[in-house]
Amino acid sequence: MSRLNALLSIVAVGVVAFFLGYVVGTASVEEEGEVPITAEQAAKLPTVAKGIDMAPFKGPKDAKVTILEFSEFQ
Amino acid sequence: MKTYDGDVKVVFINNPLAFHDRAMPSAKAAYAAHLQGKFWEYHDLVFENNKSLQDADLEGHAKTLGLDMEKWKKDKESKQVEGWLKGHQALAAAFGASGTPAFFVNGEKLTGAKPFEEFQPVVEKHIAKANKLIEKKVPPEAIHAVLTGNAEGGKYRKYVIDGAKAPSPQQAKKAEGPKEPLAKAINEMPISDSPRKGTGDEIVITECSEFQ
Repeated sequence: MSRLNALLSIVAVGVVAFFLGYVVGTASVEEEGEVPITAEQAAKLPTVAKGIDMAPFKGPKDAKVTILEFSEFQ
Repeated sequence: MKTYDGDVKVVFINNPLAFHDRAMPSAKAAYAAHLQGKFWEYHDLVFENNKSLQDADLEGHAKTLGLDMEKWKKDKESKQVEGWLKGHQALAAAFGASGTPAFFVNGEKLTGAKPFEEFQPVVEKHIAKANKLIEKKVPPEAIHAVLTGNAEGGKYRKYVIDGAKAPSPQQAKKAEGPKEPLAKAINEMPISDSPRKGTGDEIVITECSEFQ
């Protein structure tokens, strides 16, 4: 009986450890109002904004904030 | 830009409006200058002289900057520049940026010419968000994509980040489908019990107003 209890305890600890590992491993970097995304998914995101890559810009390519200015000369 | 040196990028998207007859030639001239690496210099010259936008003025700016005039003239009438402008106008239309200027700060819309003080809290909010992501090991070059994933109902991600072609204003209008005829809508307006003046039925002016 005590062997069975020990075995069950090991299995239970294993299951809990696996679950915790899964939660930590897929920790979300979700920001308020943003699409939930994992760090792993973020690393796979496009690093160039293709729709505006030919438009003139000022500032570093990998700036934290990108301001699109829709404007005209007249 | 100076205040947030290194943290902020400004992208200029030309959106020449149809009722500004010199806006399109000026936009083409500026993009032709861009093809020679002189967009911002040209941009500054045009804005400093924004009452003088005739062809001769635009050509004068190109000469002032020492551009290769033959290339500049060819480029401003090219399919490349035209396509580029159409794409940018479609993007503006898709985002509902019908007036100029309009700004999107990491996807957050700000309309009209605004003082720096109005940009400041928005820019700082987005820098703080970006810093949190950097702490969580998100690569800096992917931050724009992460933070704008949901902006404009996903359109920002689709058109700006992924580069999908935005529908032209005409296509967008078509996709909306036929609108209810105006006469039908007017006839069905619930105004029969509203206060009115006059007795004629041929011309009815409906004033939707308030007291404050």
